[in-house]
Amino acid sequence: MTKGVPTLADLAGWCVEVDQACVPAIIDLPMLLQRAVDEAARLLGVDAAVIYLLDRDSGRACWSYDAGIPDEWVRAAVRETELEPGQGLVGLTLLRREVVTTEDYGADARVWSDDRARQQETATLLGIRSAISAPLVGAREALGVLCVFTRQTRAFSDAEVALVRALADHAALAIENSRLNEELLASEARYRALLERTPDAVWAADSDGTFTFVSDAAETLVGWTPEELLGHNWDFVNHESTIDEVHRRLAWSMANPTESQIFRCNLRHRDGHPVPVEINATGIAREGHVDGAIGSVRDMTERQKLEGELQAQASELAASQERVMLAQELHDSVTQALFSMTLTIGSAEILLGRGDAAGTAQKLGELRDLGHDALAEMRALIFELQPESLVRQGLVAALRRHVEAVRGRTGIPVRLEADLAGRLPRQVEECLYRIAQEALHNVVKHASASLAVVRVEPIASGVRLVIEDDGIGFDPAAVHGEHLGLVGMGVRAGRLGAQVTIDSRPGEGTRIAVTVPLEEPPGGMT
Amino acid sequence: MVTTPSHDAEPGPRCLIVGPDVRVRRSLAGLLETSGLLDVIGTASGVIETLDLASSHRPDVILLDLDRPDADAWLDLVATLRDLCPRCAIAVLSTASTLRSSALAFGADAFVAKTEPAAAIRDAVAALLPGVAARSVEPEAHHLAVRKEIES
Repeated sequence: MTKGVPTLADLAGWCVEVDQACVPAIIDLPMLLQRAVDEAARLLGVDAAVIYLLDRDSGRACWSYDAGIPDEWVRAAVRETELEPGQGLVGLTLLRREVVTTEDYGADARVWSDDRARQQETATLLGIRSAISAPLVGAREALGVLCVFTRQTRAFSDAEVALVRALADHAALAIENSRLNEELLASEARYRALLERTPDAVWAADSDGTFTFVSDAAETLVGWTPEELLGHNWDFVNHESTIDEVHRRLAWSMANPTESQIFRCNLRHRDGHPVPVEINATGIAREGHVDGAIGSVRDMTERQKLEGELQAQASELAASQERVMLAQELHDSVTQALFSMTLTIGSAEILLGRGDAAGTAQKLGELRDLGHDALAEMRALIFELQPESLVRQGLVAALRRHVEAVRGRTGIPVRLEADLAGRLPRQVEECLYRIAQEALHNVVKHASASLAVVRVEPIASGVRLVIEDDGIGFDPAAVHGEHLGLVGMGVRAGRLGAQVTIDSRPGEGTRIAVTVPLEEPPGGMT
Repeated sequence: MVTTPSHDAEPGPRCLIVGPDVRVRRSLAGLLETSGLLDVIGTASGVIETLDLASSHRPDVILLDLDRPDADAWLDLVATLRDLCPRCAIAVLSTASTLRSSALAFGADAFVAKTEPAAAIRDAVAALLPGVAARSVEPEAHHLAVRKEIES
């Protein structure tokens, strides 16, 4: 049965098998470990070759594989073996983490035992005399032990010891790789589950824009399964409404790998209808050259609907705010004018009763002026009620009306200096008009000014609106913006990319300037 | 703006008119002076102006038109004026009758609804004047009376 010293070729053959097995996903660990004990038993001609593996939870070394055991009852006994840490030859090997050989196991004093006679008895009973025991050591921990036993006393050669060590090392390597592989698979499964559960479709494409991966969510999004999409180009799902945008964006990602971008576009559903989506894309660079792009696609149908509703609500709210403002304006202007007229009539009646013709005439003159002012204000307010008036008559005419109304109501001399040859874009006129209105409102309410000027002037890059007064001023840093409607001005201006600057200091008046950039700056009249 | 007393040779109670609308201030001053009830010694629209005129001219009557969006803030001014001129009669005018109770709570002597006809408004101001005369004679007694009113 003794085959003698195994050849290098024998050893090399098995090692190659283990190394091949280290390629992930093709490993069959139980088969490999069984082969390890089979080969050990065969090559060394021993009476038993056993692998004990450490149980991670209990810390015990448990029988896992055996070969070469002739007696069935001995085999059965060996297979029940569960060794406490430190127990037996296996425990010794694990403690030392090196190959241990013994010629007479039962009498070996290195083996821990509280009953040497019993140890001897068990060894004799199971037929364990000489042994080589090699640890299976992984990168982080001991994994188990490979033991070979003989019934007869035998002195093992260095080559035999080396063989067992090599088998043990490769078995350890196989176990490690198998575990890493399991972890990798588990991690992959986790990511896959994540990909499958996320409502966003995840995609990867090569540098031509051809899909190399698409997650399952794509099917609910565009009606094509990942299998149907793979190998197709982005254009397969691009909707004609945004196809140029998608090309431009993907080209950007390819040109700027590792940088992310998010953009909105329409995809074409299998049935042809456009699906509004938001695409996230990041170019992938490998070894310095662009290798494609990855990203996700989010369905924006619901969000687009909500955005539409929100916009409708916002404009409704704006309209209702506008109505509240108009009611306030009516109250501030026309109501006060009419009240003043009743008081003036009261005065006129008294004077008339006294026969004071000159006094009565003076009151009638005041009445005529009040009536005139009230009419002008009514016209201005009716103008407000018809947004198209601003469109029809233009910013300058609208500002002139408004300035006249404020002047009549408050007695503050407000001057309009407009130097515009033509009209401005509709939204610019609307924005500047509202800002001028708000700013004049502030002047009247807070400034205690004796003079205010509204100026509209062309500048090189666009147009500028300035509202200036000589009133009490304020500290822009200390004032609560909301209170003065300054925030509202900023928001309005921001929509046009315009800039609002506020210059004011307590006691030194206030100057608000709004600069709107325009592609075609208007000319001046002067 | 300080207007000179009207036709009356004998100086009447001196009045300060405060309000946001220049036309209301003017027509109110016109009505009260034409009626011969009061001499309007000034009109004001802002807080600082109001406090300036009240402390420098010590008017007998202050008429405050609180028809303005920030009327609540101006109620505080009523209390301030009350402290500044304890002997002065303060009347609050507004189209909003909801302001009546708070105006009185903040120390106004009367609330005049601007929805009333001109004659009624004139009469409401006239009704304040006997109190002004009484206070200018016996300020201490008036204070005692006010305190008693508050305590009860």
